[in-house]
Amino acid sequence: MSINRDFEPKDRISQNLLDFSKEISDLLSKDITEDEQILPFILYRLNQFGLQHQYSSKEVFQEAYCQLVLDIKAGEKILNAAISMKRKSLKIIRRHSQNRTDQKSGVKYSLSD
Amino acid sequence: MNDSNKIAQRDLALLLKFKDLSRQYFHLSIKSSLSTDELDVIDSILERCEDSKVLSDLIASCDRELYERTLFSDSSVVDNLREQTCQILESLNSISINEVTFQLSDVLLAKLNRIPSSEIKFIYNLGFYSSGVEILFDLKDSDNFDFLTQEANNIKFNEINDRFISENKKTIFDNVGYFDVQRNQFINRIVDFYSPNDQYTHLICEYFYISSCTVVSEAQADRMEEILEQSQFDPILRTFIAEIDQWILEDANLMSSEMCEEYESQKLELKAFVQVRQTALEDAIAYQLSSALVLSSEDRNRLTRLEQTRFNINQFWKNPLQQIGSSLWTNITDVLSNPRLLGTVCLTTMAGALVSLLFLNSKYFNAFLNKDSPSEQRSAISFLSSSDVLSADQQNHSNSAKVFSLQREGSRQNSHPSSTVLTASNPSQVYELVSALESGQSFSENRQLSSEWSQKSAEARQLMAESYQKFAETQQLLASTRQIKAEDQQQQTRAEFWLTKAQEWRDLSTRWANQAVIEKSQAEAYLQDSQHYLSRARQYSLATDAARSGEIKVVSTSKKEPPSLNSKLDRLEGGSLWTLSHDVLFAGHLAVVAMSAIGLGVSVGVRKSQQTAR
Repeated sequence: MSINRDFEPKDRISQNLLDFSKEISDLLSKDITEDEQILPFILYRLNQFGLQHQYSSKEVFQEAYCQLVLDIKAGEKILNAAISMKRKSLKIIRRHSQNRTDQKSGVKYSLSD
Repeated sequence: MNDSNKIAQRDLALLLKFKDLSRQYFHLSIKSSLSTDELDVIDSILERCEDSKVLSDLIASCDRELYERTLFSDSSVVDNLREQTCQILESLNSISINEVTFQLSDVLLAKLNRIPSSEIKFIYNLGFYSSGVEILFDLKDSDNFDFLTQEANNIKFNEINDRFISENKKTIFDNVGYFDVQRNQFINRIVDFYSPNDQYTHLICEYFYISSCTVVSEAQADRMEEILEQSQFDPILRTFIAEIDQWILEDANLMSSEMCEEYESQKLELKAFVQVRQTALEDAIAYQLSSALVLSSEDRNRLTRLEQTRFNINQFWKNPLQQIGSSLWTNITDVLSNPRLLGTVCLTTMAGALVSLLFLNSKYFNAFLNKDSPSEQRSAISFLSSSDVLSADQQNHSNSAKVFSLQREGSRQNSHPSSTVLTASNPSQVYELVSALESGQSFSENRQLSSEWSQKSAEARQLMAESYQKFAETQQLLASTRQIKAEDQQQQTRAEFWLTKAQEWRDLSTRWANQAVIEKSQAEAYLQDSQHYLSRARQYSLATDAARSGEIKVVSTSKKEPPSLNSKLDRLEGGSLWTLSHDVLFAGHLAVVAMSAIGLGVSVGVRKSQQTAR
């Protein structure tokens, strides 16, 4: 039998994860006019990048949440959940936009061939 | 004469052209906002004014009319504008209001006549609160910008002017189309809010500009991410950004009641999504905690026992042996240094040997060997050291070998990194020895600790059991949801199958209905034909009856009788019996054909109607 020496850091990460998910659920339980308005923010950014017909704000939110959970598991510290969600969703939207432009350029290339 | 006419014609043409230009100028000046092309047109007209006095007079009259019509008719508006421009200049140059500024303000008024007062207030606010002219000179509105930079040059702001002209960067205001009326209110609100913190001005304006763009470039998106990252550590900036976001979302009509309802429904789904993960996480943490508690309780029990034994052994053996060793060494050195004492020492050793032989059977040594109590052992050691040092040391070493070996084993096992726990035999011996040496206090503490940890481990086991139960329940739920999903899929496939069948049947029924309609029309046609043939047959039968009775009378019922029938009737009039019989047969044949056609048509119609009814 060996002593579980990795208990403390794992416990800290788990606590961070738990805090983050609680903060997000608190944000989601608030009224839309009172909360940080993450979903409208995502929708507005989708409009800005011309992706409003391909992705919904809910999908981007879920993806951002899962990625932030992975980041926390990797040891990153989240100071503000709402701002982190906004940043992450913006990153995701940018990546989708980049993928779309890549696909378009690929189509053009193949057509030109 | 010809020349004067030509000159007059040219002057007239010029005058007409100037009038057209002045009309155009007036028309453009009435507008509240002008495009760059229109501004260029106005500039070109004003340039031409410098060459022609007639045109300049016309333009001046246009301006006068404009002032009277629009903005400058009211003196209070003019005074207000003058005051505001003075304030702008004061904030720019921190100079006092004097005649120069008044003159300047007049020039400004002349130049800013196409800008509404809210715009000036806006410029004033930005210029005043940004503690400089950065944002003011970011305005790239051609006339105002050029003029203001020119005036700034005049009042020795060369460094700022050059810097911002050379950068020639796009402004917040030129590229944003949709904040026309509300921007003044919004910026005023923002400015009022952050007036004590000028460090945020640039960041906020930049974020506002990027957010309000309809299309964002990569560099702008990078910058936005940087500002968001910065706001993560700065609560004031965070509030500003939240304010800007809210304003922009309201302006983009993303906060209407319908959209809010949609957001609420999405939030409910997302809450369920997050809740599932949160409960799973809590279960995992509980499991981790319980397992860690179980491990730590057992390990800590063993570790406390081990440390306690080590401490007790050290405390017991270290100090007396050191004392014994030091006293022995001092005695030996004293004896060797003093030859007189050597003889006495020899005598005393002899006596000591005798005393030790007697002492072997004494109660102190037996008590030490029998591990009775620590106080007795200590007294035994003290007795040995006081009575005869050498003999006691020898005896002590020989008899306490067991204890040293135990201590060595314990220390070796403690020092090994991998094995932190003692084996079953040695720790028990050491533990018994220590418990015998020390009073019952430490043992009771250990007991209490062990009981506490056992309770905790029991709780942890209970938690583990609960988590296992939850896991099993979730697995059951998952299995049930899978079953439901499979059933749903089956039902869906069935429904799709029946839907396609129904569509096929509907198509068939429509086709049959069409066929029935066609066949009904055919049957009606057959019926008409048969009726026609029947009437003819009746006519022929009448004719045959007449022939038989000898009265050859032909009654022409209709004018549209076929020529063949007339010829036959003519032939009947001739009295030929053969032809008469032939005609009778022909009529009978026609009647049979007509009857069969009627029957066929009726039967077909009935069948199709039955099919349609099905």
